[in-house]
Amino acid sequence: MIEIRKATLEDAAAIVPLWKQLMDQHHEIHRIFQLVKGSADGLLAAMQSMLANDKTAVFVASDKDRIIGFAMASLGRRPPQFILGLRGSISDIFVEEAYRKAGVATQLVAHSKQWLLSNGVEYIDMQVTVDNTAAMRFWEKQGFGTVNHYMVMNDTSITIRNAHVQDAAQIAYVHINTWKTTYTGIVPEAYLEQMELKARTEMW
Amino acid sequence: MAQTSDNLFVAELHGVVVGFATAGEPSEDKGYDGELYAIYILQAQQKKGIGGMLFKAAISYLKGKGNKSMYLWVLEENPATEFYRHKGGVPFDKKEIEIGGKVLMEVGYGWEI
Repeated sequence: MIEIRKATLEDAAAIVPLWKQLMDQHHEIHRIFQLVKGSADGLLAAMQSMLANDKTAVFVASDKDRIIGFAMASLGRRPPQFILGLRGSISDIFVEEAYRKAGVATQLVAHSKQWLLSNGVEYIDMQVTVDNTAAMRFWEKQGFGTVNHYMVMNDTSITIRNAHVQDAAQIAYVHINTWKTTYTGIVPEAYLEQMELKARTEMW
Repeated sequence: MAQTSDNLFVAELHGVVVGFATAGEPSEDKGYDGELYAIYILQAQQKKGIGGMLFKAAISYLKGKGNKSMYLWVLEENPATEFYRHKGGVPFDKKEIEIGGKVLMEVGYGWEI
């Protein structure tokens, strides 16, 4: 019998290995998910601070007291100009391989949604990587639809080429920015301040 | 047709300019037949090898023109002096320069290329 409950601070150490597995799976998908070496201690501290924070909640699924899955939910307040100001987010969710296809994740999501709604959220969102079609189907089944396509600049290497006339403004920006960062404290402040982008663009 | 500069090189990352270098005829007679006028790289993008790439591009350009040597002026207090020394630059001269009413010292570095 799988039991779902809200995690407490004492659960932190038992959740971290599952959290780590989830992150390791994402590691392959994109470099934005990659963790630094020896990050396990950092994860424990992060999990403890989430569990201690009343704006976040972690729900755990356990089988005879052993935690086999979890989900995270968090509350956020958006700038006042938005009609929907209170945002609820469900983030990392993970269920051990052996316990999948049994509705555990669905129950974790249900508990997360209820907690968010009990805190007055006006909408609930979550993010899923585009390659993960199984996960997308799961979230659609939970009632989610796609609003945004989150895009990240592709990896590119540095290239060197001859400058064109059209590069003038960008070259001027590098020129002024480098002067200011390198020469602050060396060249008089007033001189650095009067360097203007327009004049430098024309110069280049 | 885009107007392209043959002695001004840009380093691009993610499709935008993060650094540039320019070289050409010596502006002073210091016994060198080429001059590296400047290398600029956004500070946050330094120490990633971009300087070396721009330096190489400038040198290939000068070599292509048949030059055998080059020099450059850099403020003595500019941390980039370390880069130029690392690239084999030999200090050969110093001069005062006034910037914004303050007198600063510039060091001349020279290379056989």
